[in-house]
Formats: sequence, structure tokens, C-alpha cells
Amino acid sequence: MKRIALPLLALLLIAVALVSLYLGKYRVPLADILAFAGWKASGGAALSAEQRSLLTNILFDIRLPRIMAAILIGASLSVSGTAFQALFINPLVSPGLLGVLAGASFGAALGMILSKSWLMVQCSTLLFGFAAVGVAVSIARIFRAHSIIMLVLGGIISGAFFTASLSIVKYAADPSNQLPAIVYWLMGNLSAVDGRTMLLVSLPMLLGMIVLILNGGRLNAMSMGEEEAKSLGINVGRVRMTVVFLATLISALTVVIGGIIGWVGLIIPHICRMLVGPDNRVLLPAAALVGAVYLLVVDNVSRLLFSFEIPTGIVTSLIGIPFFVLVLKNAHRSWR
Amino acid sequence: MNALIQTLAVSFAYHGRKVLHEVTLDFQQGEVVSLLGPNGSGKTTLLKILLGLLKPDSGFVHFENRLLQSYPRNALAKRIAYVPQVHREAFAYTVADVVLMGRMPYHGFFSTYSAQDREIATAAMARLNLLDLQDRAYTEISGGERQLTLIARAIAQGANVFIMDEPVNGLDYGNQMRLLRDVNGLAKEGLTFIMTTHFPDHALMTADRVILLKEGAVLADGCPEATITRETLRALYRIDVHVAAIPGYNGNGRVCVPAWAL
Repeated sequence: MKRIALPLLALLLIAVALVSLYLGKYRVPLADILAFAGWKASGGAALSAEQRSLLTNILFDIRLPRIMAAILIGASLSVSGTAFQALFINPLVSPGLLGVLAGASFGAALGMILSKSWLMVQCSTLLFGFAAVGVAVSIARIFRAHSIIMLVLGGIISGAFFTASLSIVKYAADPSNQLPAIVYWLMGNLSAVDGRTMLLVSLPMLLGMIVLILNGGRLNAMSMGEEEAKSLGINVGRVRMTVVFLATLISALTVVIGGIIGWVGLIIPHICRMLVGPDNRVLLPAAALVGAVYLLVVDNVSRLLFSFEIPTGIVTSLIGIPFFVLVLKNAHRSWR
Repeated sequence: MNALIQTLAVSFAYHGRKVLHEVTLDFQQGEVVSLLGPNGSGKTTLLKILLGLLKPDSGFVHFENRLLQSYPRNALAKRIAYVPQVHREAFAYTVADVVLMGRMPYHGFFSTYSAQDREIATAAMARLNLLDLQDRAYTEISGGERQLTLIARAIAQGANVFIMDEPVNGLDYGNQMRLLRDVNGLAKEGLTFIMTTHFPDHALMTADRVILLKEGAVLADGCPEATITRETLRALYRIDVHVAAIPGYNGNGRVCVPAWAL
């Protein structure tokens, strides 16, 4: 099972992505998609110019960026959640532990009331995601304790601070336009995704995930405790900072793309641990694939289930919470 | 000057509380050294200093005549292995995965475990009769088996110095004796062991040399028969203990029995 899990999951992701490309409010017959693919590949003339531009619009400008977004967000949150769980030796940790999501939320809200440019909003989101983690790390440093506990406490303090700051921004926001926009954005949804943003963020997200995955063996050792990791020859400080930086980067970028998508980073690592075991060298890539599949499916549900779209973040929470209860029942055995 | 590890006037304090006072010790290649001392005598601190996990506030630690701190972490990991107290971790890695972690120091950033690493890990497990357990979760095996797993990891690390913190802590009597027997077996192959213990009997069973630590200073240092005596045990633990030799076994067969039990 363990050996073939990753190729199987990769195939599953490709299949789900292709099906997602086909699914949509505007029904595109499968024959048309195939003809379109044929035209793209070899330049056949089965489709009229009008049809071609329509399909280009629907598939490439609307559906594909959204599919990419779901894949990257699901994978990033799952990978950073898994990495944090190993780093903090605690399977109940989620990517927001050090305050990155609170900071990014604040940054997004602040950007929305101060600037009309969406790019500025995105920059502010990323900036404050990093700022929040910076605050957490600094608090841990002030007490000159390099312990994990101080870092966690720093994260709690930083998260609380940026959550309060977000409330201030909401309170100061114009209640007729800005406030609903902020609230809606923080619910987490992928309907506003655009191709240009996706092109911009996909490279850093992919690289971040790859480097985290390559640190799987080191994370295994880190999860045995700091002193053991050091005695196994690991530069604990450097690995810890690398993991925190990359997890912060990819988590903040998920907020840049789609707001707050909750619960993925907590439940997917659990599910994957049940599937492939706790070895981070396998677990991290498995989490990336399963997280991507999960968010793709959830996003399809949220855009197709009703005549109106439900924010994806709400659906992930609604599915995530009861699922987590089920998972806990089994999971406590594997990590206690 | 040919000691494997040498501490020179090493002092260490935790938050202003002095734990070690100018400790100067030599450790030779192939020695089995037991560190005895009451709680808070600085045993574990000394181990962590020998491992390079703690930096002495003053004094020096040399490993093969070079400053310990001048070694990069992974170079040190190939030479000195740490076998911590039995612990239970959050994640259920298999025994084989835990032992494979011993190969960490042999890898650069991008490389993964090779077939050779797996062979070495398998050999280490075979040496301690752990092969039947290799696919079991580390969290689900017994304390003695966990300790053996950590020792197998230290073997896989390729180290020739094993630093063990109370290796029998939390084990039942049978597992304690089996573990000490295994340690003795490994010691005969020329590996160096430095371990802490709370049991003078265990030091008598395993050690070539015993170091008694009291309040961060060396009280006695020498062969077990000379160091573990009624007088030193009284000084160390404030309790009257007879050290008796079993007739017919010269030197080795010694046991400690507290006076109140006689």
C-alpha cells in the first residue's frame, strides 16, 4: 500500500482535475472538449472560431485557474500542516499555529480599505502573513528561549493580536461596501481567482512545497525531539527556520488566492497518516496530493451543488468538523 | 593526552544555579564508564556537554584532541551517538524507520536513504534481535524494545561512542538485565560507553570504570571495586549500604545491599 500510494494518489488527482474541468454551470459537451483538445494539440478544424474562443474562455480563463487554485491551496495547506505537526511534535497543530492566517487576514482587510488595487491587497496579505509569524518568532527570541513552547506561545499571542487588529479594521471599514467585501473574502472562496495571480503564485508555492517535502527525513528526526535531532547531526535551528519560513510563505499565499480555507491543514495530515503512516518522507507528498484532491472536490461541490455558489471555506469547515470527530476516534491510536 | 574525550575544568550553570564545578575527566577508547550520583548531581548535564548539546560556561571539551565545538554537527553525529531515556513520541514511526534515522548524518540535503543505509539499519536491528519488530510501531512496543531500538539507531549511526542517559529507566527487571547484557556485548567489540545510572549494582555489572558525581564535582573516579564502597555510597546517597563480594567470583561478583535490609 505504502509503496504504490503516491503514484495512485497522483493518478487520482489528474483524474479529478480532468473531471473538474468538464464540470460547470455552463454545460460543455465532452465531444467539444475533446475536439478542443485536439485542436490545441494538432490544429484540427473541427470547431468554429466562435466555439474556439468560447471554449478558450470557459476552460482556460475560468475553470483552469480555479482548478489550479484548488490544487495549490489544498496541497499547500496540507503540506504546511503536516510539516508543522512534525516540527511541533503535535498532531493537533494546524498551519495557522504561528499566526500566519490571522496576519494574512488582517493584511487582506487592511489592503481592502486602504487601496483600490487588488495587487496591493494581495501584497498586503502576504506581507502581514509574514509579519505575524515574525512577531511570533520575535516573542520567542525576546525570552531567549529557543524552545518550541515559546514559539507556540508567541504564535498564540501574535494570532490574537492580529485577530484583534482585524476587528479594528472591520470596525473602521465602510459598512456598505468594504465590510461585506472583507467578510466575504475571509469566508474563503475561489470564485475570484484569476489566471494572472495563479501564474504569479504557483511557482513559489510549488517550490515551497517541494523543499518542504525534501525535508521529510529531517522532520522525522525533529519530531523525536530537539536534542535527539541534534545528536543525529541535524542543524535544528536552520531546519526549523526553513520550515517555518516556507510554511508561512505557502500558507500566506493560499490566503492571497482564496481567503481563509479552514480545516484542510488539520484533517488532511490525519487522513494521510492513516493511509501511508507517519514517515514524513512519504506523508508530505501524500498530504499534498490528498489535500489537492480534497479541495478540488469540495470546490466542485461548492460551485455546483446549489444554483448559487457557497464560499469554499464554509464547505471545508462543514465537512471538516464532523470528519475530524470521526478521524479522532481512529487517530488517537497512531499518535498517542 | 591520548584520551578520546577530555573535559578540562568544565563548569555549567542553569539560570545562575551551578550544576557542574570545574569537572576534569578523561575518557579512553573502548571504556565502559558509569556515572553515578544522586538526582541533581549533574550527570545528565555532563552527558549533554559531552554530546555538544550544551556549551560549558567555562572550560573546554576535547574530542580526539580537537575542540568539540569545532566539529560540524553531522561530523560529530557519525562519531558520538546519543541514546536518550526511553520515551514515547507523538508519531508512530516503525522500528525500522527509527533505526534508519541513524543514517541521517550521512546525507546531504537532497539525498535519500540508499540500499546500503537500509542494509546497515537491518544489520543493527539484527544485532539486537529486533528484526521481528521492524515493521511494528515504535509507540506500541515495550519500553525495553524501545530502548533497544534507540541503541540500534546509535549503531546504525556508525558511532563508536555511545552516550546513554539512564538506559534502564522505566524497564522491568528482566528487560533491565537483558539490556545491560546487550550493552556488555557491544562494549566487548571496542565501542566506548558513557552512561548514567541510579543503580550502583548496574555500574558493578557493566562498567570498567565508575565516576561518582556529587553536587557537580567528581567525588571518586576509578575501577568499580575501588569506587563503589560503603563509604562512597554513604557520601553520595546518605544511606548505609554494604557492598559484598560473592564468594568464588573474584572482583566481578559484587552486590550492594542496604544495611536496613540485613
